[in-house]
Amino acid sequence: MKTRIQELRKKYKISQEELALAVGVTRQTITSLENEKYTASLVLAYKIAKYFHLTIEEVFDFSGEEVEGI
Amino acid sequence: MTEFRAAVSRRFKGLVVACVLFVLTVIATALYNYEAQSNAVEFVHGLQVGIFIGTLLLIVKSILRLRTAMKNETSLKMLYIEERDERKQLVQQKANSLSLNALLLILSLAAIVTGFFHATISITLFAVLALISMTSVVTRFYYNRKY
Repeated sequence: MKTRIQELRKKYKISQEELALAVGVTRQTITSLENEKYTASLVLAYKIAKYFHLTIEEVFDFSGEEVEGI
Repeated sequence: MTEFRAAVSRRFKGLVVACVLFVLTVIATALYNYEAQSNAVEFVHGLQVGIFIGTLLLIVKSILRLRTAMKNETSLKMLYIEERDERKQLVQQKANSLSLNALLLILSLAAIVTGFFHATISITLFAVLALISMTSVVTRFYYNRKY
């Protein structure tokens, strides 16, 4: 899944290590998220979005995930 | 983090007890006065001592790691992150699942092939295969009910 994590990190000059420590995961997890190798859980997505004071949709790209609404 | 610290402390105490038991077992195994009937028996005895010493070393490594975590707040947080990291847990689950399937396949093939040469080994392998399969079914059933 595409994310804006790397872009936001660079914007606020935050290292992967700092972000990882703040949201309670390892640095490798942040790397995998940035490289689109791993999709974050709902809780982790929430924590990352909250860290940047944004909503989940503003950090994670859900355009490929379609669902038929009621 | 307080809960995690308490859990680490409990684990530390448990490992110290396990360590003492293992040291006693290693000494007892090494001193056990067995009669060397054949090279195979001697080899198995060596394996037993080796496994005990290996496990003991792993326990000591864990004890040192937990001790460091209990003394230092940063190490405790790093240990917490290391153990709860969701990607690591996923990797572990995938690796376990694949390993189990590979193991079952290899055991099945080995049991069939050895059946042509040695009945006892083949029956032993089939028994191990049945035991692993049953454990897998039971754990699957348990987690299906849990979640």
